[in-house]
Amino acid sequence: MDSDEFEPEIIAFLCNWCSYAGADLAGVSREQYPSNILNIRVMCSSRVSPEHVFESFQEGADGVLIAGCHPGDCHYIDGNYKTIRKTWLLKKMMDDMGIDPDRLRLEWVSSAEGGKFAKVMEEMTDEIKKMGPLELDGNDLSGEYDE
Amino acid sequence: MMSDKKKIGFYWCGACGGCQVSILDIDEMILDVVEQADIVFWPCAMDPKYEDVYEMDEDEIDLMFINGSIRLEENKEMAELLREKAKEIVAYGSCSVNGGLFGLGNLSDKKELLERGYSTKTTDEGSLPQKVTEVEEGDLKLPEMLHHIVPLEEIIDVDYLLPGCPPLPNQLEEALPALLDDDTEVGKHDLISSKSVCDVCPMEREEKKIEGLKPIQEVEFDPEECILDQGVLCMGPATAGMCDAPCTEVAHPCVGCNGPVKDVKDQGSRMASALASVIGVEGEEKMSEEEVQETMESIRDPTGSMYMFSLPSSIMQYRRGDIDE
Repeated sequence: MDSDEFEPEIIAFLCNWCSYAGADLAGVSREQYPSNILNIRVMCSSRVSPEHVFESFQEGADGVLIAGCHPGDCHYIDGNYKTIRKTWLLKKMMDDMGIDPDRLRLEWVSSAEGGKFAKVMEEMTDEIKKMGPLELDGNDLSGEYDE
Repeated sequence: MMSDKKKIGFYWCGACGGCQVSILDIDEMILDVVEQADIVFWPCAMDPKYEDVYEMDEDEIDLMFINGSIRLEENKEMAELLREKAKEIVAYGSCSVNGGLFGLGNLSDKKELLERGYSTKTTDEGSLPQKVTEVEEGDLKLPEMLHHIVPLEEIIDVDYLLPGCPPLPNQLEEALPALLDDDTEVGKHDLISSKSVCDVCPMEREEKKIEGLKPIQEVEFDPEECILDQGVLCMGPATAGMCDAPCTEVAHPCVGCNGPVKDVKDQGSRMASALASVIGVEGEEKMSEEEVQETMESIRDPTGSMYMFSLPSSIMQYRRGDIDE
């Protein structure tokens, strides 16, 4: 592999009941997907607070994926509806804070969809590669007047 | 005896002046304060000059209250100078603790703010403020504006945080004696409540689902019922409650001026989580993802409302340049 190529770092928050099992299945069925993804297991996709996402970006992630059960299949009945609403809000907030909202992706992966998991990971890595690295620092506190 | 008395001072950075008035808001308790302490530095009420501060000895002031946001180079310099001259620093008011209302300026960059302020259609198309302007009599100097507002804590070491916009008499009645007394130990974050405004709010909350948010004037308002339950954005769930909820008591929604609850960094994120849980419609199982999202579109300016007083102390702090506009 060309070592100069930008390799994004992507944090994936996976729900315990569907998406993490889906990722497991992808592994068991030997699906190939890029190694740019760092999986974090959470009990429900709605457990992911905007704080976690902002913190991920701040700590150097180039993209964040939130994956949960398909709508209607949530282990906690309506957790993923909360995730839909929270993600909508979060994207608005990201836009205002100057982070491209497309760096955050919400996907539904069930425990039987190992193939879909691998596909989503591949797509997302490609997309983030096209976007380039997320550069958050660069603004000095003081700055000369721009004429 | 004079020597037993503590020396205290008040200074304002980029502020509205409300924090200065709030010190007088404690009424006759100010007499107890001046019995225990001499106010040696207070630009709002006295007439000190920069030189007077430079001439002070190190640690001359025992307790220094700094309010206001760090907006100009001058604010930063004075904060750094006062850190040398004071034994203990209190970040007083939401502006110095969390960046405050002025912190919303962090959603624009310095250039945008200056152009908006100095060359819109309503003002003459003129020059932006210059650091040095030459006139016949000599050079006129202005302090430079910083790129974004930061909480006082990021500029200097702060010993105590006392948020509020402004801090209320009941907060000061508790805080001032404790801060002036050497035997009482107060931790840096001890003046921030770990209870939210909802915890101290007298309104009845049923924790029911709401279909979306509405401006308060469009709601048939019941002054006894929880404001959020009635579909009006109230920052109560995410805001520290040392104020004892005076606003919601008179049916005004909480705007979040106290900043986040103790040990929480990001007030807006917490509020977003709360809103996502509170909003919901009947039969959403049959709705598409887009339709569920539409229920959220009733929230106007989510970032501005949820970070109204705490953007500079949030995780992101200010707008970055990832998006080309």
